[in-house]
Amino acid sequence: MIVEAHDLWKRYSRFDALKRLDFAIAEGSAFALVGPNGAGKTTTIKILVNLLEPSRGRASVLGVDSRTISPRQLADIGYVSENQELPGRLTVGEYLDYLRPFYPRWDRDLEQSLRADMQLPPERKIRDLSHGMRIKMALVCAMAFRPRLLMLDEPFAGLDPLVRDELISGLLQQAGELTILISSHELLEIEGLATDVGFLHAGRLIFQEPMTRLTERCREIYVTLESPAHVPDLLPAHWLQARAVGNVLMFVDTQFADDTIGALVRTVCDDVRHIDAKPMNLRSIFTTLAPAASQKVLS
Amino acid sequence: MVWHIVKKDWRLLWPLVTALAVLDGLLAWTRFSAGHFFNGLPIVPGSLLQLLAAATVITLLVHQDPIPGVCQDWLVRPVSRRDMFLAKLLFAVLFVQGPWWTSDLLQGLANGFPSGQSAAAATECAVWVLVTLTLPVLAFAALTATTTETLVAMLGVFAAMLGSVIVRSLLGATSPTALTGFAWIPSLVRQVVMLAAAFAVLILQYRRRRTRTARALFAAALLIGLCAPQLPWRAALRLDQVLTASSPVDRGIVVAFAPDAGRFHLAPGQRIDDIVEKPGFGAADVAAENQRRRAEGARTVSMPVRVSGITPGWRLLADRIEVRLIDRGGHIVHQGTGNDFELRAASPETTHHQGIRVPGAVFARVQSDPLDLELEYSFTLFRAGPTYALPARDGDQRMPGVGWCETRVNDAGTHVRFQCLQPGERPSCLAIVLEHAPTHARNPEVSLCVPDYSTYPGHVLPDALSRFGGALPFYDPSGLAAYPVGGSQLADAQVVVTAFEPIEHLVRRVRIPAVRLQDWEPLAR
Repeated sequence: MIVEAHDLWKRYSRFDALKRLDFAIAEGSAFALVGPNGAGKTTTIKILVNLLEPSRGRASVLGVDSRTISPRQLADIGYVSENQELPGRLTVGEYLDYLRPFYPRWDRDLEQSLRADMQLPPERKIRDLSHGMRIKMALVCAMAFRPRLLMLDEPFAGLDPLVRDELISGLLQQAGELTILISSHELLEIEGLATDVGFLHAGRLIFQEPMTRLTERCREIYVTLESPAHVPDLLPAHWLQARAVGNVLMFVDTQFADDTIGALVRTVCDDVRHIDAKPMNLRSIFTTLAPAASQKVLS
Repeated sequence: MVWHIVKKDWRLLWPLVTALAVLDGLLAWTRFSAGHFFNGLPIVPGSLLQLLAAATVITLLVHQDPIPGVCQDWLVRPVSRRDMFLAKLLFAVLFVQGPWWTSDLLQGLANGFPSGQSAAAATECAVWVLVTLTLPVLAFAALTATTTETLVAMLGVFAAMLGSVIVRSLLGATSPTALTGFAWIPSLVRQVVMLAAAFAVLILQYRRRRTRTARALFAAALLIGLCAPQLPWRAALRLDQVLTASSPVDRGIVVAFAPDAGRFHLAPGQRIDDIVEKPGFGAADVAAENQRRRAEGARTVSMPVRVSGITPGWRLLADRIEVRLIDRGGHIVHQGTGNDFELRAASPETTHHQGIRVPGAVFARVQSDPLDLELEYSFTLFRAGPTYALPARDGDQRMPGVGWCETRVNDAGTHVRFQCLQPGERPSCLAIVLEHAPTHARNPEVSLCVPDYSTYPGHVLPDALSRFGGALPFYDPSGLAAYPVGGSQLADAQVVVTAFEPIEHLVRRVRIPAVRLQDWEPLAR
């Protein structure tokens, strides 16, 4: 595992930003850390790059405790954050010139190619770049040395769709060569990128699993009945957001299995005419799971 | 990578560094042009501007790669924190202190001092600046991330300093070593504490990024530094002995009560509560002290003491006199300090009337009671060094151990002004006297002693050159004073300069039994 967190806590004054966080990221994967605002995504990533220290527990990155990450490990880690403070008084070219000697594996061709793709003017001062251009700049600075691990903290925040697409295509070009940890609200964008997903809520990791398994186990189920439908009093716990419209009972099954869904539905409804199971995108899964997770955390 | 970071910082800061170098050069040129007699030139404000500008550049230098916070790009780059610190230090030494050192060196050379002496003085000054400015400012800047944060922190420091002055004033607490040659001890304590804190802060910040701990440490050091002037006198004396590795030598100097010398007679117009003025300590300090003493409504007694065993020509300076009045029951009815004095013995034995101020209420209560008076003298003995003479009018002479000195008659035609330049520290004590060479008639001697018993050069302002001097009166327009050497004799007059070197601190105790205070009040003529 290229990243591991064990019993990770982060406390700010009386507020726990992270509570007993455990997760692992396999090398070569693209791990999406999703969750609502204040869930602890940024805190987690900042702990992983040693910008913050955990209050308890430990995280390891590239096999090293995050608290003791040295320049040797940082030479293999790319980091992009929406609030990253780049030296504004240097030009794009000057900053790239400055960074180059720090990275033994800096690929000048890749740098030039990325810079051209992202249309970054080398003579422009960084402080004069727009927010989107600055994120692109940070991305070039994070990818030109071919990192083993790329951490992206809300890289798409505040970007227009065109720039987002450019960034994602840039990332996809590198996918497979590196491990990506990305936190984002832009669930539709990262869906095509992520191989694994972790859902963080109120500082707790609600689940972590491969993207394929998540999309396979979550389905929108439409049960058409012979008679007007109503929501039964007792439903399996993994059926969420159940509602009835006319003869149709709708819910989200978070433990969907094609071979058992029919039998399970019939234990609840007598006069089933037709069952339709529709795949869900990450955004729909997230909006379904988030309220449930919130209730679970509160309870 | 250290030099690589330095080059990046140069690219960002070269306009400021150039402006600072120009300021250094301009100030050096101004001081050089002013020569010996620089009255009216903004020497010290210019130097304060130089210090402030240097501190600003160092702060901005550190803030190119700030440490506090979680958004700085450099923190996620493979930049060694040690390299980053070394780069900042190297930049500050090369580009902030470098021009300063160069302008100091050039000024020494331009004034005709030997290159070795000029370079040594410039280097001493640079080391002092490194220790007292560069490192503490590097540490201070490492505690903040932005200029706004720094300004707020500076306001905090300023408020703490102001607060300490107000508290001391309200409590009536004066520094026991103030205006003495031992003032360097609390100053050294403060600097050592601040330097240690600066190192600790730099280690904490550049190695561990423990901003909260580092800020608390800096604040604690600041607090200790502000309390340093209150270091007790005996502690300062002991520290001086330890730091100077000196041990008292019995030179046979004896202080004893001399009742036969009788009561002190005030000269016409003299006020008994005038303290002995120490040239060089500043008129404002003396005036403030006199003001404070007059406001106390205290009474003064003047006890005759005989000091014997001083080598003729040497000086004995009383740095502090601790006074205790004890009644018959053994209770201390008053404890304070006596008036400082300075003796230059013409013979091995000399008499002095020791002024002692007693609070008005205490005096009224015990003035007729027989009391035991204890005096504890802390003296410094100065050995006479070489003596030089230069013409009183437009004299110009280089005197080893003193400096390059000039004389000039003031515009009002009342004084001969004597001014010197010397690379590095000035001599601790000089005595000058106006002498008519053919007859050897002399006007009263003027002491230019600014005692500083420190064992290290601590001279920064305004630059690596010391500037010192005094005025020798020869004509009193009011007619009250008549001088043996007057204006008509100036053509044949010379200024005789004697340097003195502090060689020993000694403590002497005198116990005078059954003293009635009312018997020793000074008498008006």
